[in-house]
Amino acid sequence: MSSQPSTNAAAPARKSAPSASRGPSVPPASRRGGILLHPVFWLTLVFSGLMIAAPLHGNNVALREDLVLVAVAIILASNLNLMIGYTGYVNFGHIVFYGLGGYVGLYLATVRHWNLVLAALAAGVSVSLLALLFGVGILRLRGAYFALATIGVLVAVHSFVSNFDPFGRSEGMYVSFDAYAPLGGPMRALWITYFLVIAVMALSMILSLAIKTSKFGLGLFAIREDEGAAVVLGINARVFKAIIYSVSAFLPAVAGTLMFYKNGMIDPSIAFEYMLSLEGIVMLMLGGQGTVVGAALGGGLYERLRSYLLTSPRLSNFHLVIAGGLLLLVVLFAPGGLIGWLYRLAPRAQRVIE
Amino acid sequence: MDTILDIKGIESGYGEVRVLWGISLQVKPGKLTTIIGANGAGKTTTLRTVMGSVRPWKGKVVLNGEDITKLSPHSRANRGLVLVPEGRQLFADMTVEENLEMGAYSRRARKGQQQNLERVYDTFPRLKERRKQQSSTLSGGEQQMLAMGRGLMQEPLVLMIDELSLGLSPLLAQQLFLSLKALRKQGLTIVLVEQNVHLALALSDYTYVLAEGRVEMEGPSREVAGKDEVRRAYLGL
Amino acid sequence: MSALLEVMGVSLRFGGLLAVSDVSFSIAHGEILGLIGPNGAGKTTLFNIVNGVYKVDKGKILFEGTDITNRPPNDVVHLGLSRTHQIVKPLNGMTVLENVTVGACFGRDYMGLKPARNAAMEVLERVGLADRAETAARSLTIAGKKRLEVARALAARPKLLLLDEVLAGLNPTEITQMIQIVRSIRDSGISVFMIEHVMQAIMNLSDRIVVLSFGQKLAEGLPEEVSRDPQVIEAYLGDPDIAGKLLENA
Repeated sequence: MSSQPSTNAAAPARKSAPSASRGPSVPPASRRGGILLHPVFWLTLVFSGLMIAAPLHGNNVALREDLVLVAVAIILASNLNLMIGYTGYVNFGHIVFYGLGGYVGLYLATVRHWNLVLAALAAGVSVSLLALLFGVGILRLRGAYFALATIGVLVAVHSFVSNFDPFGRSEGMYVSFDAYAPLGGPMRALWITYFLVIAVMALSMILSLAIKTSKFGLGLFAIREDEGAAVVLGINARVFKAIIYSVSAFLPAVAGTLMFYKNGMIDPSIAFEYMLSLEGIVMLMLGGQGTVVGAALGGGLYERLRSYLLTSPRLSNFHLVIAGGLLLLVVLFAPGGLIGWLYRLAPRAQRVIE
Repeated sequence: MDTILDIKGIESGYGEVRVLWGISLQVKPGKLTTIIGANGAGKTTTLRTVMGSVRPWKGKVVLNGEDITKLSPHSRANRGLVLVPEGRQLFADMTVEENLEMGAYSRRARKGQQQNLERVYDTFPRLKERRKQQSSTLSGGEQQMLAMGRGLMQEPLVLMIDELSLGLSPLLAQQLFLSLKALRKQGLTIVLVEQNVHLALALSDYTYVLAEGRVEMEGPSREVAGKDEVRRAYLGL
Repeated sequence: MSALLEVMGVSLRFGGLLAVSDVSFSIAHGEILGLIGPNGAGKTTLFNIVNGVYKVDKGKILFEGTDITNRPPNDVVHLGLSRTHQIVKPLNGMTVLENVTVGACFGRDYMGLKPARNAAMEVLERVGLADRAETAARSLTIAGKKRLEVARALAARPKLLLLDEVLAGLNPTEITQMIQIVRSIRDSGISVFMIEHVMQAIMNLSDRIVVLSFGQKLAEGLPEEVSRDPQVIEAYLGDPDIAGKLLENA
């Protein structure tokens, strides 16, 4: 020890989460009233209602197909938000829950002829439990090492599935037409799965809101701000992290089942799209990590941008360049994303929204 | 000249944290002035502020009649203000001789480089023996000698040393102190921050006792040595 | 009455270094025990041991008779042991009120969000931060952050509060104010175990003092006794004999 005075000038040690500590501030403790009185809750219901009503009106299948992608983006971003925005742990392998859920659910629904909803729920539960198992191992790691480990999980599961017979190895599984019979045929099945996906989206947002306004959520945010301090304040960080990692797997896994069922097939490359994992992070950062509205906004906007780019003849090759560029811009100049920027312009908005 | 280094009313610190609350010292030429005080009292901060690595919020530093408060550390070094920092900060991969040569890097010191090198080797014969050795392989005491030698290569008007005996065996500390005494006899002005109070008082001409960023007491070392204020500056009661 | 905290023969080695060596002492209910010692003596290490951040190689720690040796920090909070840090750790993205609410939520009483918030406001009143309740923690001054750290620890309703250099970096006015706060904490029945380098303050504030040097307990007793103990004086002022030898040879 030197004879230097002990100073507080040095910043407290931080995890190297990408500016997780510069996200929008957290006001769970200032919010009065339960979740049912929360504006974001009603916003979610209204938004979900619109998502259902819009394509139904005039049987607009094209719109439905666009919107289902938006819903999936929101599901992924919202659940990823639980890890990145709330807890400050950057999960680069988030897509593994979606893909694995798709596999488990599709297997149960088509090979074992389970009811779709049950299959989806079972997928959710089993993937969550697996996440809990993995989580206990990798959540000891911090910062960049944790992020790398999440990629490791993704790669490991991908390899496993590619070699797993019951899941069709590298060829995957197909959904035969008669699998849609219990739902009244393919046409109806597509609509039903659409409504279910919207329901999952609404649940994702409501779950995010419920956690954020709860004591558990407060604990998570404390972990994000300073894990050492959180532990010393009585928060069992190990347990909290494992729980939220597991919880963040549930709804994406359910959604995975529904989506791959709807699309009629699954194989390792489309189940575990690495880019989608990364884009999930972009969506979240773009919209505003740490907020429910931000995750939804980011998911929706980015998905629309993505669809536009992919279908544009000139720009489709630049889709990832633009994604990467956006991520850089957000991280460097607006780490709070769109919502963070809004809150900076109008601080009152934060008290009103979330 | 009465005072070669005049420090007036320095207030400084790190970031938000203020460490020095108005330090004034007058260093007389050719004398060994020591600064003592408990850890956290501001001794190292004082030296660093005088050297310019820490910018003061208030106060002035005057060297040889010139106000150097706004100058960068290396400009101050060029004017003969040399700091041998705590922890030595030697160039680990360079040899003893290379480290010493680095001391004469500034234009001012380069002229007398050969002469000064001889003088340093005279003062520290051990360094001459190990001149081609990598500095990281030297013992603690030898490294301290090398750090001082490098400081001397800069042709200092005022040599400031932060912690001389820290981590050294009593024998080595003794040797180093004897060299210091010899240098003082040659007319070098020395400002010494030292952990061992008894040593500091025995060796120096004038003592400043720092406590909580202020000068608690000052005076000729022989007078300060007997005072209970010294004990109180360290132990609070 | 039995002691609130009993530390018995704790030792901890870091690689080759014996950071804490066979240290024993106890803290009574409602007393302020000061921990002093030269830099590197092992004071913060000892705190980390009592608090559960470090595990001991040897020894036992009893809190109100319960063995808390090697229990993790988040556990001991629930028994009534809180601490502040030398380098403050505010939860920067949150407001002052939220910070303290966290303390109340996960402290000894496991409060729900609403009661925790109310309890937090009370604590903020006590330490004089009530008017900054909605301020972002990161925008407080050093003095504010230190008070926040204390408030957050108090919100857990501890029986024993560990204060690690709570006065470092404060100006004289702020030091006086913080001293008042520490006194009022003790007066409310909470014991305080504090490390401090601002010697005047800790010597005047503490009921008793423990002195650590090179990881060992050097002395223990009343401040007046300890400040005149020759071993303690030597630990701070250095070996008087070296000087003697030097003058001989000179």
